[in-house]
Amino acid sequence: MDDAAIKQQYDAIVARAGLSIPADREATMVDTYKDILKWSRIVRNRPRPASLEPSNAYFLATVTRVVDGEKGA
Amino acid sequence: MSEIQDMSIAALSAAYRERTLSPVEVTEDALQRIAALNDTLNAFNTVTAELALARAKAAEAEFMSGTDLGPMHGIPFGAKDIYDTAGILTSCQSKLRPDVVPDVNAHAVQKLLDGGAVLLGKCATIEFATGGPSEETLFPPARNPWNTAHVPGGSSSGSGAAVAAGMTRMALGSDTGGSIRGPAAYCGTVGIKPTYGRVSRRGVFPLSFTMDHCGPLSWSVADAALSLQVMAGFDPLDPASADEPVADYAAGLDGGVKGLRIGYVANWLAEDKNTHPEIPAAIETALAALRADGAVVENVALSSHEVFHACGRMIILAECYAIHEKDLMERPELYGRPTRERLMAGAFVRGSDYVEALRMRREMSLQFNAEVLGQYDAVIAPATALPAGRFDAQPNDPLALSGYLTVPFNVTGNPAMSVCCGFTSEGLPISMQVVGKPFDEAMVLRVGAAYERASAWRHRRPTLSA
Repeated sequence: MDDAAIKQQYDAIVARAGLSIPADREATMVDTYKDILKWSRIVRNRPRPASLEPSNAYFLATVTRVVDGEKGA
Repeated sequence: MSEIQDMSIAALSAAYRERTLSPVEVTEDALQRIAALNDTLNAFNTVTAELALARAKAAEAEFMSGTDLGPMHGIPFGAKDIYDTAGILTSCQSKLRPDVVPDVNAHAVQKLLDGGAVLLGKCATIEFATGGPSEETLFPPARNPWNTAHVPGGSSSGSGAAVAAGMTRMALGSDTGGSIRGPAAYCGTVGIKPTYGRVSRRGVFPLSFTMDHCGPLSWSVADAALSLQVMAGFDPLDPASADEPVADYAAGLDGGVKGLRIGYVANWLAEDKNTHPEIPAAIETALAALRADGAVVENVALSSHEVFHACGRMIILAECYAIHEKDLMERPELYGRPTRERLMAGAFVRGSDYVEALRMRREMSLQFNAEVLGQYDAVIAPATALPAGRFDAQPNDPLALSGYLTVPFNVTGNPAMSVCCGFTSEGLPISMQVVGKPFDEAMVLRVGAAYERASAWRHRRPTLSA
């Protein structure tokens, strides 16, 4: 995606979100948007087995029981 | 520093019980230190001197009558200004909350007060615990006691500065991507982020619901153990609270590291071209000290820090944007620029990005706990790739994290603690993280305490004229 396309997306997102960004900070925020696009590629381009579904991903008990279960298997 | 300010929580506690020192003397001493230094450091937004002295007098009377509320009884502490404090301004450092006075204490604050601790006041924070230091916020930013031209780290900036400067032995912080461990590292204190769910977040202004952790910053590992002991435990009113038993954290502090297997995450500093050259050397020296004490220390490779970073930051940005969306639309001018712009970046995260990041989080947590902590008792990782930066050289990038290497353990949720492991030639602290298995804070504290005994860094304090 070229810079013009990125800027077009950025403008649409900012407008939809109702955000006011001062003109002197816009270039910085466009660069921030590019950083988010890069992170988006990192989190998306991975194998996605069914076991990696996100419910309660952050509850450690749901992690330890899998780890302990694998040890016992 | 006074003799009192050099005493550990355990030593103060013992002195109270031997009647050689009173909580009133200790609180007065802390308040004098705050009065002398706070204009320089801005570590406290609000000092509750009268309340503190009244509580200290009550503690003194309780000791005299034989009432003993435990290891924090009569111990002064500070609370980051995002913790609700009944009857005391809880501003989050923000012009959006210049007059917010809660009726009820945050659960962790209440547990400390129930244990007889003495609240000194509210510590400065980065506004709403995200962004960077700003002069546009309700209170001025805290400064680093080791060099006031440098930042103390954030977001628990005042907590780190207050502990390092000897204003208090312990101050509460919160950690969503490193906000306890980062300021602890930059200020040369101890800072423990316990396991997700270990300490209740109830009454603490949220940044990211699934990444927020509460814990103490303290001068020593033993201070951290005693503080965390009082804060930890199940809270049925915190939806994320874990109903897991709480160990006796002080009991294992003298256990040493002989025979322990410890992994060292060597790849994060190596892959960052901006790593300060003195940091890898300081950590290698610390690892040698652990080996000399009998630990088996081996290098382990984790996923690139950039991968953890992308995962964690996508989650944080999406969640904090949801919290602040209305204010960002309706009154954005009340935020300081660094906080406003970082929060606004949450608008750029798609819903499906967030879900994919959560799925990735599960994968990374499973991998770390099975593959790494399946082989090791604990892991050491660098806390930051850089020492504290200067105020006049703060990054323009709203997403910059100033070299923090802490977010991976918010992603995995494991307990992680910063401990000082040296100083740069400019006199700024260097720190490493000790990381443990879920709910095994006791091991983290044990390894940290062993390293602390093997090193001399706790004897070095900032030179401040007071």
